[in-house]
Amino acid sequence: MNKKKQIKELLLNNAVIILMIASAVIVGILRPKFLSATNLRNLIANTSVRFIIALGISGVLIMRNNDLSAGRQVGFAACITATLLQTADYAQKVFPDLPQLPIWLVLLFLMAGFSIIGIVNGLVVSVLHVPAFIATLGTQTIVYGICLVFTGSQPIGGLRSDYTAVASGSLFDIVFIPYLGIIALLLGIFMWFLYNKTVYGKYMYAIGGNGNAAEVSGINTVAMTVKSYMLASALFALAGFLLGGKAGGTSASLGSGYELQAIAGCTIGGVSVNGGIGTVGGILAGVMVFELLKITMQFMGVTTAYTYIVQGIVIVIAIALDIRKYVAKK
Amino acid sequence: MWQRNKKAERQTLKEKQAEFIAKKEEYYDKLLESVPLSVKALDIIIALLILAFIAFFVIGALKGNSVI
Repeated sequence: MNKKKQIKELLLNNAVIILMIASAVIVGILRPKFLSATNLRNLIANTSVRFIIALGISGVLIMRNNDLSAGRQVGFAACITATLLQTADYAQKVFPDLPQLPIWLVLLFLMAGFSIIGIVNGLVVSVLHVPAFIATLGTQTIVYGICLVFTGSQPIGGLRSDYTAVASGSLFDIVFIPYLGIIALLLGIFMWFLYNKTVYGKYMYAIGGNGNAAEVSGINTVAMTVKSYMLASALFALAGFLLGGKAGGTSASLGSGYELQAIAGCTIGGVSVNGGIGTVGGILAGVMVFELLKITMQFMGVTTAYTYIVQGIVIVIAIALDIRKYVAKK
Repeated sequence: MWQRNKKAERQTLKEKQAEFIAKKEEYYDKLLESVPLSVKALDIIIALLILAFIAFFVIGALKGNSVI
């Protein structure tokens, strides 16, 4: 292959990332504030939470399933956290007699509690054989309803400063190293290890690649499906915990539509919705590209209606490029 | 009753068993059977999509800034 063709292939294979970087450079020139440390921090913080949600969904997607309840679970987790971590002197405290709980205890309780939602999702999908799309759509609505009852449809504020500091603070007070980014990075390393170096990961890809072959080979597909949904829900709880602190207050509407953004990030990052394919690095790239796109559009003042059109086009470009790679290889 | 097979688990970890590698290509093959697309045709589609991306981005920004 000559050099010209090699450059063309390189450009085409990474067209979405190049397009996003080009957009960011142009926006950076037109709006100098775009390249500020504060904006970089926002990008990292926003990407971190979405990355955690996307990691949760990725395991389910790789196993040919889906989880449409992600966003509502994130919102519900944020609301529960907020009610448990309100300041003692806040006038509208949801549980006035509740003592000051350690933050780590609330997080553990949350992740353990939400794993139960994951178990229910997993059992409905794997034992009752309800299509994942329908099963998790039901969970989405139920969780949202419970969240509305729990919060009384009211926003929750008065969060403790030690809680909000976890989500809005930075390491050594360096603006562009938020704790959120460090948490997401550590989680990314853990998930990479889980996906690539453990039996769980190998089984997950095996089931996604060929479920029947995996089952015949002795893999307990029911247990694996339940585990993948459990892990996803635990990660949604963590994301909700961090998002609530980042926002400084919550309401039942928090997290709405996040599942679609996470699925879009996964798709751009190369996770196949047909199962069996997906890497942690790809998911991070996909989520970051999507966040970068949103921030560039915000800075340019693009109207909301057009932001949806542009985001949709980027997803279609990512899929078209993937098909092109395959046709060129043939 | 399902039983854990540690030997098979170790074997799975060691080998990248071919039958377990996902067949996204199979899905694309089906698509290409119904809509035969060449690399050139896909290049044109991608170019048009990139143009649409730029067009909607610029129009959205102009509308958002009340230029049009």
